[in-house]
Amino acid sequence: MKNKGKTMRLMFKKLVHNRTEILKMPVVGDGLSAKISAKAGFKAINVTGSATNFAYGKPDMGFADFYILFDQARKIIENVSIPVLCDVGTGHGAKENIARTARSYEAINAAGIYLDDGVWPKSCGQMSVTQIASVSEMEKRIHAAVEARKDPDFIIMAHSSARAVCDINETIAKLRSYCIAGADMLYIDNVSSEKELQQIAKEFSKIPLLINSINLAKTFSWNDLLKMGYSMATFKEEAIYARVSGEQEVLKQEESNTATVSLKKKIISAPAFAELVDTEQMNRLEKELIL
Amino acid sequence: MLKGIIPVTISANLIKNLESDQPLFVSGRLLAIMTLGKDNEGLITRREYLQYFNTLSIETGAALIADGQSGFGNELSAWTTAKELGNAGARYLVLNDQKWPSTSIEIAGTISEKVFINMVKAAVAGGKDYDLQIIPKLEGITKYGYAELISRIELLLKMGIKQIIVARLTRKELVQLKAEKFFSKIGIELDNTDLDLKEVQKFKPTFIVPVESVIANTLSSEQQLYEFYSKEKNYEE
Repeated sequence: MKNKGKTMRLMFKKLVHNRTEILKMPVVGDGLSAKISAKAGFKAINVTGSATNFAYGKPDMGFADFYILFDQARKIIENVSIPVLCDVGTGHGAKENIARTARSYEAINAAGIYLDDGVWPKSCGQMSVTQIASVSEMEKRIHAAVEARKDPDFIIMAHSSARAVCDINETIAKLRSYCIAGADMLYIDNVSSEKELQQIAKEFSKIPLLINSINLAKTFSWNDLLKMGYSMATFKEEAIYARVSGEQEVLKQEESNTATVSLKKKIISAPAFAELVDTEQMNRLEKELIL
Repeated sequence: MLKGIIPVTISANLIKNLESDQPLFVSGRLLAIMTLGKDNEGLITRREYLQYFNTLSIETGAALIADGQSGFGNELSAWTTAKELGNAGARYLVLNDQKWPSTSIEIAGTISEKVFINMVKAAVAGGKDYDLQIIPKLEGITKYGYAELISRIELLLKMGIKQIIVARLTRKELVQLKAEKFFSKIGIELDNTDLDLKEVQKFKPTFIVPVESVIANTLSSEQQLYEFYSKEKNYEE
């Protein structure tokens, strides 16, 4: 793969514009989760700020700065051969910072980034409250990222949580401004009712839409969402929670065992794990290299 | 306590050669110029600065003054900054009162007096497990004026802060400041000001942080190298 970034971006666009199935992207915060996702059959992944904070044992409260998120994304992208979409929060500062963010993620071969319309830094004590930046502020963020990219196929997506604090009409007006500012795609969050989902899909029928599939008002089939106009879907951190509960269960057994007994919980076998992290492939490579 | 002219550097070589007990300021602005080629400290993130600072601290064993910029975010970020830099060996932490991200030339804005005091309190709390002294840096006189500068200084001293840096002063403001009863607790930063080192020395502040002259010297050395490489056709036999 001579130009991994370009290849991944074209692959991502093809997956997004495929009208036969919705592109599902699991949330990933480290290289192991990325590999598990890729081998589970997912065709693209979503590296989020929260998952990265969790990988460092921190809450999702802004502990991971640009460099930590960027470095983690770089390791993840190196580790898989599927497109990686990256959460860059509010872009990590002023215009010049956002330009650096976009430039840097493009350079590490990300398929694209998504910029939040939230406020950062938030006032302490209001960390869990959704605070939305002004439209002009978000437009500046999008402009800065669009101007900084070299490859027009590098996706600049606008992520909006506005519906948490605005009504649907105001939310749509904001999304429209983000598109005019240059956002290639939209990531819709905090919209749950079928009526509003349809309203947004109708309004932005020409823009690829990513939906957060958790906490929707009812259960939709992937096909329903695709027909409605959503081409991508992502999740919350369920896979990370599952990993933690498995780890807790095993550790609890290990801590309470009074003798060297086998674990009661069914866990992945050592050979299967070795296969997951490409041990055999690396062994072969090592042999080839020393010949 | 900080006294005299504080060396400003990001060079382990210089720190080792100085063999001084004098604390040295590891400037975020200088690091941004040297690693990113940009005169904007706000482009350097806490993680990048921390990694660089940690290496300097380990390799030199010197008493280093860390540049915490504007705390890299909110109060929680300031707390984390103090904790991480304290853990990385910082003896002093400078925290300015600019809005995040702070900038090196034109100030985009300053945070309110109340929020700044909270930021400093957060940094003091974050550094409590370490031998770390917080040095607030007041940079916003052009935004909030002399009266608020004095108000900020008084509040900081009242909460137990031992030394404060004041930056971006005019000659007239320095004369006024010299007359204040707390002047012995003030250090003057020479950065983005018309004042020069000799002139400020006449006012005998307890310490001076000559950021601007160090940057000018660094760029001048680079200019010499630039001239050398562009004139010398050193690839020819």
